[in-house]
Amino acid sequence: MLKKSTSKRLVDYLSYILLILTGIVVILPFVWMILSSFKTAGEIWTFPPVFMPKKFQWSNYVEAWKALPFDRFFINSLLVTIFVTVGQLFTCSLGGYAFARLRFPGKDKLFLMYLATMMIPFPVLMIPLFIIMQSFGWIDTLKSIIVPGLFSAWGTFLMRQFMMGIPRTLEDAAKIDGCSYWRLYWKIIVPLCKPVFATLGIFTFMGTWNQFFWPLIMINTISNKTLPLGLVMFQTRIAAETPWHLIMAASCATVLPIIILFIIGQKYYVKGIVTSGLKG
Amino acid sequence: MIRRDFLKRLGQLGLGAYGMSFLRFCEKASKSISNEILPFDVKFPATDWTMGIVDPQISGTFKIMSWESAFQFEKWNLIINEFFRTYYPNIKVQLDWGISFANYNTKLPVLLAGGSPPDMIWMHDTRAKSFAAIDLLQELDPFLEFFKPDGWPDEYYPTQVESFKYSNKQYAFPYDYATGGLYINLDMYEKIDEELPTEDWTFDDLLRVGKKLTKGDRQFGLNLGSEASAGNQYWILRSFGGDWFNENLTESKFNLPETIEAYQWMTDLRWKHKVAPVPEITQGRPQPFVDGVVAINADLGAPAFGDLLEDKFNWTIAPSPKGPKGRFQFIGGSALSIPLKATHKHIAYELIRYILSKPENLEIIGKKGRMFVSRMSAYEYGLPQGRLAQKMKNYKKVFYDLARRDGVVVPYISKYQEWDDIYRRNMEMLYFGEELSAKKVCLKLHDATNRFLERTYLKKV
Repeated sequence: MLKKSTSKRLVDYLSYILLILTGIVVILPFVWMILSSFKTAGEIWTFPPVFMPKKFQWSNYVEAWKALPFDRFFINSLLVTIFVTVGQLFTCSLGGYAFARLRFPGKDKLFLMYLATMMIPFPVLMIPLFIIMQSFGWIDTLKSIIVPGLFSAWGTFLMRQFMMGIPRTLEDAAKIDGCSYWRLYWKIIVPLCKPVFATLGIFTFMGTWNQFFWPLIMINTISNKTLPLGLVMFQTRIAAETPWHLIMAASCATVLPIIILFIIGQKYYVKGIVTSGLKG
Repeated sequence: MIRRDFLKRLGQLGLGAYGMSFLRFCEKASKSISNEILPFDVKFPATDWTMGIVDPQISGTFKIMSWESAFQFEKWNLIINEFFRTYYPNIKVQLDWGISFANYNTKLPVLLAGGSPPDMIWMHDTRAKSFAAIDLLQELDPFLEFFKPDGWPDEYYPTQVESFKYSNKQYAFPYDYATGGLYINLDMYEKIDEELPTEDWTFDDLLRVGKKLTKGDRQFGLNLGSEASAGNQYWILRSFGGDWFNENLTESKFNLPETIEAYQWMTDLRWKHKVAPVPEITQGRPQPFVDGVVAINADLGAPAFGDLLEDKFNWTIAPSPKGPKGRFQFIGGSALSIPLKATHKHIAYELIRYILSKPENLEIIGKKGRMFVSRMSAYEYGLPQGRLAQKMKNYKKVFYDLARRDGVVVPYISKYQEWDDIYRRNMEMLYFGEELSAKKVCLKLHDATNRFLERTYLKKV
């Protein structure tokens, strides 16, 4: 008995050691980014690399913030992210509700077609989407990033899967009491779907906050740029001339909201991966 | 008519209508992409820098797109703002800069293909012909004839002018002149009993010194870059008498003994003589010379201006060597272009001419920039200043005089990006040491290049 408990403890210890090592490997680039944000331009290029800066250069943060309007980028990112997240929660939950609960001809086929859109690579959609935005006169506006982001096949799928698990008896009782579809959705389904709302909200927030490629194509003026676009504005064609210390400082400030959000909602983030089998 | 037949007919009608509208769209698109002859009706008073074709009181938005970074764009900003303030005060300038080079080359084709092009764009020599070949750029010759820039073309580096031509027509106005040379770590070099390299040094001389400078895995004598990077190594290839293709683009030259010899020499540096760092080392160290791991490094003139090298060790510069078939020096460059569908083409040309031929502006670009400006008479603005000038007294000779004498235009063909993929896939075998016989790789590349040329240029060069 004692032998079994000792071996179990050994396995536990080994598991912990392995997990700690994996944790270190995962967190190392992040720590590296933070420490590099305090280095001088020369220290960034030193080989073998130095982990700790000789002297913490707090001025990197000031310099980065002064060189480019990061406050503007921050506001733009926040606006886009909030609109997209709230919008996507709304449209995906409505779509999910329809696919999970309502009966209409071709429902399953329509759902499959909607899911199939996930298989089309973005570069294929890029030019048609660009032309649509152009015909709306939305080039170089935040609308061009927000509106296409309001709908998500993956989010609808996530919502539908969750809603299918809600007992139908609740709906039936509400229907008997004279509840309309809209009221049913708003008063019964939405309150029961809080966990999946949190999961989709976190995924969407993180994805939109870090979105780079589509805003790169759509946004032309500095005042409309988002944080990821602002970060690359330091990059030069000659790598050695790129002020990586400033990029790291700006990156640290950029990831802060994401970290806070992740800390608050990590339970839902993990749940989302488990529920859907997909990450983002 | 039963319901199914009705739906079938409806579907057919719909498809037909869609097909017709698609053909109309194609016809319209093909008409709009022809390189039209621009009107040159002078209706307004001309100035030294405006043609008098566009109303100076015109309002609207003038869009500019550049790959220059936050710190590099400052100089352009000064000049562009001055131009519009003086000549077109009601035009609003929309500047899209700070897009990294790779992202720039992703975004630009989307804007051009999507029909929302900027009015003036930055153009690289590796891509100019590709854009010109598919009618996305405005031909500049009508402008150059009508409103000739001071000194054009005789006072501009012929290599740069040539780089931005396609089918004998000018598609971009060059703004810089980037040339290559050797950077030498003097702390390492002084420990061997050798003179510094001169323009008469051969590749064998360089290898001999490289061997002396190499100390196992800690210090490498030479770093001339990767043979997988086609354009950057072209000067070495030409020095040995090799080439990529013939002039008419009908035949590959990778089977020439001289071509094979050049690639074998490059490969042997790394895998036989072990005087150059292997990929595992260079990939972990983007700047092996700055890190003090390499004694002699081939690079562009630009890093000499950087702050990175300044105090780490003593260093100097020297000319790149000559080969059995002569001396060739790397030359590259960038330019300014006008998209074919730009809204304000006349203003764009006036601005380009203003930026790149007004002496005061060339001084700003040269002094605040990293390269020589494209006008030869303004070369001195591109020379290092202050402490760096003292450190590199031979800078003008290495990066300017010799480049003018021996500079070679890299033949970036119109389908270069496509061919470069084929080239890289093959040459990476040499670079990563998966194959050590340059002959085997070159012959394989020869066949692949011939197939590519046949497929791409058989009918039209």
